[in-house]
Order: sequence, then structure tokens, then C-alpha cells
Amino acid sequence: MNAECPGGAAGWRRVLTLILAVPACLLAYQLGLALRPPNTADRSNSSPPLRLSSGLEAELKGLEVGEVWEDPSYQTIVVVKNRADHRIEVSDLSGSCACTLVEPRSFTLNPGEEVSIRVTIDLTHRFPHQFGVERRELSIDLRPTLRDRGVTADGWRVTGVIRSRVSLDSRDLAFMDLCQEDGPPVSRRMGLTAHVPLTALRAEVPPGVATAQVVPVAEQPGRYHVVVTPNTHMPRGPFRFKVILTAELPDGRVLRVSEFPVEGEIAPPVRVAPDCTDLGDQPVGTKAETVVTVILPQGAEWSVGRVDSAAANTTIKSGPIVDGNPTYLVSYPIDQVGRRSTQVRFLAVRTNGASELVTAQVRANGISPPQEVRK
Amino acid sequence: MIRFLLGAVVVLVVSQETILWAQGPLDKIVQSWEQRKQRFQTVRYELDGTASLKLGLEGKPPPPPTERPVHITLLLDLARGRVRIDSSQSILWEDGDRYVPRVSTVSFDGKAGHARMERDVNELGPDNPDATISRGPLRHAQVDSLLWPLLTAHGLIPTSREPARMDRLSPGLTASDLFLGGTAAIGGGQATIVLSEPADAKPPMIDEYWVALDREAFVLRHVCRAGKLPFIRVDAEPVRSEHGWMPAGWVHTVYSSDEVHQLTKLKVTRFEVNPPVKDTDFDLPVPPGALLWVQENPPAGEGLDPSRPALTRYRVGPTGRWEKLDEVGFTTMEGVQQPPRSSWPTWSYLLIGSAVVAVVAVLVWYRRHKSVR
Repeated sequence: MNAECPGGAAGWRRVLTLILAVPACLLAYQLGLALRPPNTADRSNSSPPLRLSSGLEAELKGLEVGEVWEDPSYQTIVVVKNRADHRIEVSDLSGSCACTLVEPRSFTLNPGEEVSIRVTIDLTHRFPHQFGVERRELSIDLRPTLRDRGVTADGWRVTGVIRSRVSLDSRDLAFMDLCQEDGPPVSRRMGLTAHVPLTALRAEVPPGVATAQVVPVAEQPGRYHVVVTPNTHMPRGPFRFKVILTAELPDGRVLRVSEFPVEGEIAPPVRVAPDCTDLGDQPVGTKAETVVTVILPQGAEWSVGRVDSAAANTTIKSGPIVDGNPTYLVSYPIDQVGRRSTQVRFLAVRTNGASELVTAQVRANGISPPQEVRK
Repeated sequence: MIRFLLGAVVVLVVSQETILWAQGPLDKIVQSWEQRKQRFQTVRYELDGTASLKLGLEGKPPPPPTERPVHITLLLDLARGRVRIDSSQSILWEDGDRYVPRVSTVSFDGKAGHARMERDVNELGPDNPDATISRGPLRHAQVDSLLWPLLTAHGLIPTSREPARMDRLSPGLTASDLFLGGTAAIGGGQATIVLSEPADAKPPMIDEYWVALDREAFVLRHVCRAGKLPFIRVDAEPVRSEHGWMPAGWVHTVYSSDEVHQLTKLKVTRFEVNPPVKDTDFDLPVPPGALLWVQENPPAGEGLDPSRPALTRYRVGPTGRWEKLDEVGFTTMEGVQQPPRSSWPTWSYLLIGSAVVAVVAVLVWYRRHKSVR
């Protein structure tokens, strides 16, 4: 074959090389693009210059922090130098995010002098779209206010990429008024994702205030729920505490990986539904009327002892008992144009002598009655 | 034998009831809502009503008229998760002195969200699009709370935590997502008050549903509160029909700092069960001359910032051809702007390139082989 076709084997090799080389190059290029870390693009276009119009110049080292682990008190030192030929007084230097603390906030630099600024950032701070992600942008502006020129138009930017070992599904856990005094326990859960292998994950809450339990989500490796149950025997009023999450890594290190606040209120055991009724526009000469229910704790220990209203023209009539809860028809005349409201007070008493005063508000907007059409 | 069978039926019925009651009201409510989801394949509603603004801009009284007409048509393809809303209403102009019409059609065709707004009717500015197509997760495309009673009538329960979206009408609630708030009197009957899980906002938000257990878990009242203050309240009037308890009309109230901001009263003027639907009902055509925005929302988990979607702007030519004006790519969560992605997938370039090279190589080889022979 070689004798008949001088370029035979070598030609085939060339053809095959050509066939394979081009797609191989394309593949390599595409692979390179796909595998390129997302933060390797040229950031110089989006980052402000290091030297400001005032003559202050920051060193790049403290501004570009690279990839950092999520930390509630991450610190970077930014060295700022006066490159101008005159003294510069900075009356305030602050970060663009409330999660940033700058020290010192005010300083004076003579020409050629420099100061080290400690920037402490709570890297657990996230925007709503950043919940649940492993890597996210760090971008915080530092903007100086000069004593003689006010806030400068330019500033510096701390940039980098924040990595999380654990990311929460939301910022905090709100119970609002779901917990009632001495009522049944109410639990809510916070979802979280572990982005690194963990050997253990623990949740801590202040003792006596609540309980917290970490529950792995079935068939979803790396997903957990932290189930939080406030103690409903706490004193009435608002409560706020933090759930601290501690993880044990495969190398034996134990780290505080995240935390989230829990807020709510231990509400009174008796309430009125609805506690505020807005009846909207009501013609003058008619009556504003609504039915309210006093919702009592389950059991026969509670009853409504007294019902009254500060407004003399408000009438309150007892209605049927609904599932153990007394109902009332509240009405008052719409006697003038404009907004009117009345408040009704209900005193609920318990067999042991305890009592609860709850109120309901009924509002309406008096309007002129429709005119009769004259023929 | 008959006695035995009758006895078995009675035992079965009693035990079913016992199971329902043993489940508790929350399970029963969720079960009824699930049954409502299965009732129809498609539905079409026509609504008519009025909207009245009570508060103007910056303390100014709202301009006349006190009541403006509202007309809405809702088409739901419950079986395939498709939706189309045609609405004609008016909104307060930014100067606060007059109202401007808002006549629009929005839809979700099972793959993408569509919106169409006629330029002249809606007094659109030159840069505003006549049409938009949104692909990917439609996090921003929430169904107007004016339509909540129609959604809840079909077991699609919106919450502040997971609002009804065009591409996902209902989050799919379970009894463990709800809390019991007691029983109260309403409209001559009684309702079980059900509370949603609070949405973790500042201040936190919660939904309160007043559910008529004896009317197939019809939601008589839906109140959204931010902290202690309501910001939306919907009071629905149920009507018993051959299709069960359905909404006849409702009053939708929007509050601003505890003051009534806008009141909308709507009545169902037409209700069609299982109307025939076609794909073009949901995949809306784009008229020639339109300024079209095609937005690509990044899926979760790809490290792309969902608040900065990729956007391509087109002008639709007289023949219907889309002529590209400009485009912006995705932005990563690290803040890096990516170049716009090609509409062709990467592998297609590889395939075409390889095929061209292969054809050329074969031709070269064939010619050489032929010349040698």
C-alpha cells in the first residue's frame, strides 16, 4: 500500500492529527473557560483608583483581600498615605455597609505621612439573593469625608470573595406573636446547607429561653434544619436571642460557623379577632357594625367578665359562643363625615383570679349619603 | 350479607370522619385545599370592579375620579401550571396629579414569562419595552394580590414567605407550615384562623387566613401583616355553586402605615370551567416594531446573581425578525460581569467545527488518494 501511495500512512496520520487537533483545541479552550474561577476576571475596570483626587492613596494589599472564609469579625488593614503637598484632615471614614466598622474614623495626615486603618467586616451579612450560596461577592466602599471639602466623590473599595462553610436559608427566624404565654410550644426551623464535610453540627441557645436541635434532612446530604422552640413560660413581652452554630471538621477542629438571631413576643393568652376592623366608607346616617370574637385559651378556666367602650354611642351585644369563644356585635352610628373609630375593652378573667384586658378597634370613614336623583 | 356490607360502609364512613377529625383542623384544611387543586383542568374568570385611592402622593389628596374601573380576565391551566392575566386598570402617575391607564397582558407558558403593554395606550416612555420575555426562575413575577381569592379557590395559597409567582402559583403548603390561631365569628358563620410561617423580613410578615371549615376550607379573609400592622386584607364573599364553594366577589384593601391606601372591589362576572385552551393563549406573539426585552434569570446554584439577570434588547422588524440592539451577560455572585452567552450551546460550536474539519480532511484525503490511483 505504501508503495502505491507514497503519502499513505503519513498522510493518514496528518489527516487524523488535523481532525483531532482542531476539536481538541476548541475543547481545551472551552474547558478553560468553564473551569476558570469566577473571580479571576480583570477587576480593574470596576474598582476605583487607589489614589483619590484629594491626594490620599491606599495600598492595594488591604483592599483586595482575595478569598476569605465567612467570619463575623473579619479584619483587614488598609494603609492610607498622604501623597499631596498639603495636610489632609479626614473627619469621617465609613463603610458603605452597616456591617463594617472602621478604626480610626478620623485622622490627620501631613504630606508623606500614613495611617493604618483597621476595617472590621461582619462577613455573615448577606443580601436576600445571597442566602444559601457558598461563594459570594465582597464589595464594600470606604468613603472619606474631608474637613475642608465634605464627602469626597471618590473612595476605595474592599473587594474579594467570601466563602461559607455553612450557609443559612435566611437572615433570622421570626416568631412574631405566635407564642402565647403558658401556651403550647411553637417550633420553627431554619434551613442550612453545609458546603464542606462536617463530622458534627451543634446549635446553642441561651438556657431556659429556648431549645434548639439540629436535624439532618433525609436524603439530602449536607442539608440540615435547626428546629428552634422558644419557652412559652417566659415572661410576657418581646424576646430576642442568638442561635450559635458550631461545627466539627474532619480534621478535629471545632469552629463557630454561623449564627442567626431569633425574635418574637410572648403574647397574652387572650386575644380579640379581629383586633382592628376598618369598615371603609360608610354613608352618614348608617351604622358601623362588626362582629368580634374573644379567643380564650382552650379549657373552661377563662370567661369574659366585663365589656365596655369609652365612646358613649357604641353598643355591644353578646352573640353566640363559637368553639368556646364569646362573640360580640359592636356598632356605632356614623353621624358625621370623616374618620371615626371606637375602642371596645374586654376583661377576661380566669378562675384563679387572674385577668386580661384586651381591646378591639372598629374604624369607619363617614361619607355624604348618596343624593337622590331629581327628575 | 347486605347487612354486613351496610355495616362495613357505616364503619368505613365513621372511621374516615374519625381520621379527619383526629387529624386536626390544620390537616383537614390542607386536605381540602389539595382537593380544590384537583377539581378542574382549566378555568377562566372575568372580573369587574372599581378601585379607589384613599391616599395621594406626599400628603396630597388623590386626584379624581374617586372610583376607577378595573377589568381583569384570568385564565388558569391548572393541569400544566400555565397562567394568563389580561388587565385593564389605571395607576397614579408619578406626579400624583392624574391617573394613567395600565392595559397589559402577562402570561406564563410553562417555560417563560411574557408581558405585553401597548405603548400608546399605556403612555410608555421611549426606553420602556412593549414586550418582555423572561426565562429561568421568575422570582420577580408575582401574581397581583388582587387575584388571591381566585388562587385560594383552587387551593393555591400564597404566603408572604412564598408569594404566588407566575411560574409557581403555590408553594405547596403542609400542615406543619401552618399554625392554629383559634376560632372566630365572621359573616354570620364561623372561621378557623390559620397563620402562616412568618416571612423573615424587617419587620417580619405573616399571613392570617380565616377559613370556613364547613365550606370546603374557603378562605373568607386573608390578612397580611408586617409586624403588628396589616398591609393587605382581602375579604371574600363565598357562593355555593355546582362546582362547590367559589368566590362571588371580594374587597381588597391595601394599607399604608395603618391607613387605608387603596380599596378595590371586584365581582366575578363570568366563570368558565375547563374552557379549551391553546398554546398561543400563553405564548404571546410580539408585534412588529415592538421594543422587546428578553431577560434570562439565572437558576439557583450556578453562582450567578439573580438580582442582575442577563438582558438582550431587540427591535422587532416588519417581518417579525428580532434585530438585536444590545445585550448584557450574567453577573456572578462575586460581582464579576460575564460576557453575554451565545444563544447556541458550546457543544454545538464544537460539533460544527469538528464536522467542518472532518469534511475538509476527508476531501483532501480523497483527492490525494484519487490522484495517486
